Amino acid sequence: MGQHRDHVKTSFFVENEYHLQLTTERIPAWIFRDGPTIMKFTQSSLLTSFALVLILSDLSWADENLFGWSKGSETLPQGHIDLYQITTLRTGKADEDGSYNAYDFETEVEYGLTNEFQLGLSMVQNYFTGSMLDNDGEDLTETGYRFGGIAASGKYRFKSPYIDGYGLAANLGIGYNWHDETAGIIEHHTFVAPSLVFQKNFLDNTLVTTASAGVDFGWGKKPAEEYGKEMGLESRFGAIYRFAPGWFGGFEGRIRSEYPEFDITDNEHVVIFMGPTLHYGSEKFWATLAWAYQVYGRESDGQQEKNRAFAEQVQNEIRLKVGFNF
Amino acid sequence: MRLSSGIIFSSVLMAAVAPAAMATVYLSPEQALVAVFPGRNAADFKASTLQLTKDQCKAVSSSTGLTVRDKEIRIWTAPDGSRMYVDQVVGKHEFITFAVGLGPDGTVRGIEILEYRETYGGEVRQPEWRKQFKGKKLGDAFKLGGDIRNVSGATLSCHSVTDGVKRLLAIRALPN
Repeated sequence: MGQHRDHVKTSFFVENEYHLQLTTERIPAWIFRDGPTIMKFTQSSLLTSFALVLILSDLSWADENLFGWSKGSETLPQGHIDLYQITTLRTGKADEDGSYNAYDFETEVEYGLTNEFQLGLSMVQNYFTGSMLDNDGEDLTETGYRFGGIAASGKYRFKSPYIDGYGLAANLGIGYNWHDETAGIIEHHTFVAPSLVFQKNFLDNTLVTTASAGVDFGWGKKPAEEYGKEMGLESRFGAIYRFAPGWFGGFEGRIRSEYPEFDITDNEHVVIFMGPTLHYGSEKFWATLAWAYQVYGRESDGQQEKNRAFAEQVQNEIRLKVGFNF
Repeated sequence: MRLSSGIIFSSVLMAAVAPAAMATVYLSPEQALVAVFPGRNAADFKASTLQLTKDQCKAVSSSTGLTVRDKEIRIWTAPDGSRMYVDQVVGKHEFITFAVGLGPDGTVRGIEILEYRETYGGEVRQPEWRKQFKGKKLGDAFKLGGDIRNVSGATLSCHSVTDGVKRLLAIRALPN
């Protein structure tokens, strides 16, 4: 059993008492409660998020959400609002570890401050299920709802693919997480994530390609991680083709590597995800369904199995993004 | 939830909420004729269909740098040589159906949007934007953000319609 996978189990299950203790001491009681209340709170929070989407959808305008993870370089027009709900299922660790399912519910609103600059606010909620086993085969499953965190973002478009022949935009995201996304361990994680996005269209704008590169700096990763600071490098790329009016099909991928204590020489793990993307858009509504499959992973301790990294990553991610436009 | 269940559930959900696209028809070709050629009668124009050959498509692509998507173009022709072409260009999700009226000398007399189905970008229907094509002719730049003003929030639609007009001028110039 690899060091990092052991670390996951320790963080997720064995240290749960510490987790609960911290929870009651350091975050508002309404965020996290015991079992039955968790379920009620989960349901009410999700219903609230969904209702918020429906209520505010009168104000919404579609953005370029052709991909599940990759983003285009276009920004919202001035004064326009974009509101959508992203639901992601992250599932699958090493076979002998049992099952692992994490649902991420991200509600995001974006506003076009100018025609080239947009601001965004989002919140993430997580729900964990599964049946993870320890080294002795004992079920250590701990499921439940966690309020993940909040984030703000800004995006500036330098070039438009429709005017300049290619698109170029810069993103800056900042945020604060109360729980880590791997196991829902309480943390006080602050992050800053700048990135650059390039977009090039072909075939009368029916073929859209994007590539981005970004770095994220995080502080306050303990106790979810063994260290306080972490840097991540992530590149995303995608190509999608409009094969029928309203319908796009394509693929996307991303490469992510993480470095504890911002030490570029100490690569904790690297993963490559790839998978198909399906997008439907109409006058009133759009949706994007994407599947990301971990095709390669490597842990720094060399304990990964079958070239996969499972300490903080999963085998499959499925994402559904929905936006309403009236 | 297993992976297969997740994919099936998401796919079913997506298919269930995906409505059939509804076309918004603003003008018929006959109404567009009257709008593009004020004072003329639609009955003065004879409708026909132009079927482009593969070589003609190549010639248009070569001269404009644009792809010819539809090889079949509808044309209304008047005895004095005035013509109106009706074609489709790519919108964000659906096609935009538009008409271009050309005088006997081949200059643009006007353009009209016949069908538009997108959530936003409908500013291309604004007369202020469309009238800047009046007098344009083959050989002009047709550069969005240059000789053709862009409308923020409708960039893709502006780009597509601008290219569409440029393409139709090249089609008109094809040798008979």
